[in-house]
Amino acid sequence: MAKTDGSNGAKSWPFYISGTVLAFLTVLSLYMFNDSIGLGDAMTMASEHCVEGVTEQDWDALPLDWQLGLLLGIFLGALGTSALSGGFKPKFSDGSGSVPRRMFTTPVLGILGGFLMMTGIQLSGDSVFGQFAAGMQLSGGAWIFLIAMAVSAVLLACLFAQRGGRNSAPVAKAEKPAKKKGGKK
Amino acid sequence: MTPLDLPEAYKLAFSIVIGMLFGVVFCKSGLADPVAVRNALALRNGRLIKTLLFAMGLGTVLFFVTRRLGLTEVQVHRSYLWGSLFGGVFSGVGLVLCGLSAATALSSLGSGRLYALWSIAGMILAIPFVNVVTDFLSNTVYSWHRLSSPPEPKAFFDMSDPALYAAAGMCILLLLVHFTAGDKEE
Repeated sequence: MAKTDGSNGAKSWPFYISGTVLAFLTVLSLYMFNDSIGLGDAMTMASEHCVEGVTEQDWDALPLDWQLGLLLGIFLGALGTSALSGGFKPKFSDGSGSVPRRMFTTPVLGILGGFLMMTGIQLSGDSVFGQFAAGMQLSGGAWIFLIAMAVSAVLLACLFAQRGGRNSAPVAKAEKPAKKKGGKK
Repeated sequence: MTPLDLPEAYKLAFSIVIGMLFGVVFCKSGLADPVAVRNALALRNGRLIKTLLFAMGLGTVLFFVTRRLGLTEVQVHRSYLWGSLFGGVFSGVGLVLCGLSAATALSSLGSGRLYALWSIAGMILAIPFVNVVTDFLSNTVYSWHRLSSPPEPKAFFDMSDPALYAAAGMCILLLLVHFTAGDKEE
């Protein structure tokens, strides 16, 4: 059942295993920390610490609390998984389109997408992960957030896909044989 | 039974361990891969959607059970109708453009996708921007329609229990996705 789908060497789990582990971990976090488990607060704290450091030239160590610990753990867990899977390879773009196009689109779309993502998180009051956990607790605001996010994202992604949008693996795979045929002729 | 009330040092240690487990799941489920996320959003690959629907459905039931046992309590931020709605739309557009959220950006970076740094930079830049317009938001978005706290259901198989409808809705959606945009490899 396990397979790779571009997860940088890590073999993917079937949906019922990933979903079960994700649900158990979220509820376990609520039990252990007895607090909302969104990561928006930690990101905000880190950003404000950076702003303070730049404006006041005061670079004290960032106070490490459990939410920052969770962020650190996520990074370390992903690093360990990729390293242990044997397929760890640094990537500088997601591998779609020509090199000049990638050099432009990767940073621009990355920064713009990240900016919009965090603006949305700040507006709604919690990160996507936190809203997901709040959705399990049947929070009305979280359900509104998740439905609005899903609808807008699916509509936009389908629109991009219809117009030959970027980074779609099936399209990229379909283009390769056509080039080879041309080369043989 | 009550939720654990750990000292800060233990909380920090456990948070790193649980965070690492989350990092593993994000990698193994494909959530850390922006291309897989975009394909899922374009309804080309249903595996990620099914993962999230399954997790949400099961999590709703698990939370209900643990809440009834007294192991967990409702822990959600205050939410506002328009803040949640606009926030969801902004985040949805951002998700299509970069394919990452705050947590998955870190796991993506950890799995060697160095271009996730651009998304993290964008996220860090957005926080001072929101702080600048915070007075405007306080007078508009955050003053309209504050939403109430989640309800406390009495029994899971009670027709008035929203958890039952949420879990049933997730099951129906999961089946729908499985038979329409299902993963060809499964």
